[in-house]
Amino acid sequence: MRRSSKQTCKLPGIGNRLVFKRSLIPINEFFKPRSSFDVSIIWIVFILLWPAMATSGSDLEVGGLCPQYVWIDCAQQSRHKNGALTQYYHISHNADIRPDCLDARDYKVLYRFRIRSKPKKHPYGFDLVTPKEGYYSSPVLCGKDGLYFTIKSEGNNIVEVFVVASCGRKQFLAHVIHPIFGKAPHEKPVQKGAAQLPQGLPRLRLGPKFSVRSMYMQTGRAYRFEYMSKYTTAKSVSILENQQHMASLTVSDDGTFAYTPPHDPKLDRSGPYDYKQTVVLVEETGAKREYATTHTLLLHRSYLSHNRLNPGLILFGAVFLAVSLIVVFNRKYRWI
Amino acid sequence: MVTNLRLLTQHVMFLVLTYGGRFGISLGSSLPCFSCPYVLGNGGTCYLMALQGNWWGLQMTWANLMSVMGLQLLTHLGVFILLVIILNKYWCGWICPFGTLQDWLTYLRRWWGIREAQFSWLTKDRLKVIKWILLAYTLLIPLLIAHAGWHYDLHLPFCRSICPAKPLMPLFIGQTRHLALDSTNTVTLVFSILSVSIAAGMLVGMFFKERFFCLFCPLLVLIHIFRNVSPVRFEKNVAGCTGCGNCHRMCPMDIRDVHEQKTDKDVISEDCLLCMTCAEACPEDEVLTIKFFKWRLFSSSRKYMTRRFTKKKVSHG
Repeated sequence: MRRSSKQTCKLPGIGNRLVFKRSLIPINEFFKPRSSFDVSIIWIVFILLWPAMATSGSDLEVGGLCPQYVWIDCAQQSRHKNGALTQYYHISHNADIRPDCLDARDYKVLYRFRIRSKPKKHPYGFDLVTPKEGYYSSPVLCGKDGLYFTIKSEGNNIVEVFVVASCGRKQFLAHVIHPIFGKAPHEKPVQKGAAQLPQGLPRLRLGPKFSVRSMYMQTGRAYRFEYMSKYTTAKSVSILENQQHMASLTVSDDGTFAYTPPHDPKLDRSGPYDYKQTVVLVEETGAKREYATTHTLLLHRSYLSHNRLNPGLILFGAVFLAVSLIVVFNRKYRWI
Repeated sequence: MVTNLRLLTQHVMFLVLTYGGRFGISLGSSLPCFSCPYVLGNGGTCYLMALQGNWWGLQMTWANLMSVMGLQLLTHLGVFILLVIILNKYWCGWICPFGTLQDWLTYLRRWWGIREAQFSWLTKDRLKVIKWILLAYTLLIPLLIAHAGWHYDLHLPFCRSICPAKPLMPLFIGQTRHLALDSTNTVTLVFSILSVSIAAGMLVGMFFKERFFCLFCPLLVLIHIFRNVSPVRFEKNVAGCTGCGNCHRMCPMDIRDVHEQKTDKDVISEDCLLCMTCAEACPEDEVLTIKFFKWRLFSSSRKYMTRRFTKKKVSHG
């Protein structure tokens, strides 16, 4: 990954009119013989500035300035007049480098819809459709808050998004899957996309038994991941929240691992549609390349974990008994 | 005959609306009856949830209201109004699955030989106000969430805190989780305590008093608003009425308006369920008539009443 060499810097208001006066830099004086002290100072300054000189304007992998990982940050949604929904996503890096260090053209965004809307059996359900193998691509744009892209959905869909990027020896794959609720009355049928995911990249996906109907991810529920990679090197799994390391997990021999997000009191106090983003990061090294694969979990508060059935049944029984007794003892008419 | 037809319709509709979704039946989400959306696999759902919701209802923001979603809101409202106009109170007496549950409890009480609880006229008049209060509660809270920034956990206020169908109807698919207390936060806890307590109280009430919940049903009010534009008519031939009082005595809702009406032809009242029990019990020919447009669906007759009560007498020995 490198900066765009085609970009030219022009000072505002000056542009190409900036001209150096040769007389201010007398060459013969600069190259005249100096004392050994001067030479050593020049060498020390040269050595100290070397890393900065080496990295500026050259490939990012030199000096280790590639981001450690890249993840997809789900941002705001915008509803269109026809009811369709556009979801905004930010492409985020870890905080070590500036967000715009990678050129937008070096990112590839691919997405596919896992299901269609127009449920046939139940108004609140989804009709499952065999996942399409083709992907759509979305252009990456540069905004005030960094790089972003958008996906528009006419109807109810589950959208699966991948961001692919590379930086020197590093290869990034960011992934997110979530429902998107478009409400356009005459939605266009979801067609098979033309793009394909690059071959040979490690993939991180929710376990094979994961139901597409459970896409509303919740805290307190165990999520099983499957890490598919052709390498058998050691892999480290980190759970990150707001770039803070929350937990470390180990990948088993069959490439799976499980994570149960803990309940979040702040999320519990908020509304049922509020969510937080937790990033699952898997890093591995193989074939002289480093792979950083992330999956963003959009976690809502748990809907069922806080349900207390026994106290509810006791309350139901107590009220039932109390009201029955009131009715029986206050009855002014004959029973039979 | 009418009673048997009504029972048949009620039970078929109970099966369709409670389990129909499992067989691909979907009658939409604008039904003017208590077909609970919390029953998974239902065949159609009550409009009150859609009305309160954020997709098709009052909880919609202005921005969404001005988009095509506003049109969808109007479509759902239009379907609801159309269904109400076409069948009007038939939804309550003939279709409502929660009404059927109430009728089952009444049959159980009668089978055990327990007499129905009676309310005084004063109590009945006081209770009438409650359904209007519940309707206001159902309509206002979603508006306040959408436009005054009230906490989102207050959404679906009627369904989640008042409606006894929410904890009780899912029991028919073996689901008990709506009887649980939700301790996620204070709002959900208060709502679930209210919901479970009201369901328990209502269950007792529905056992001792026929169609007890219908006394408080806000949907009944909404349906009643459209009675004048509905082709469903319930008329009384005032001149032919002898004032025997059978209509009042047989009415599951204890409505006395039919009996007391001396001038007006139209006798359909706010609490009427159009169960036609009064017309079946009327001993005078063509005094009570139920019409659909100009077609006469049923008219009271001495012959019918005599045959019905003779049969009943024979069957009871």
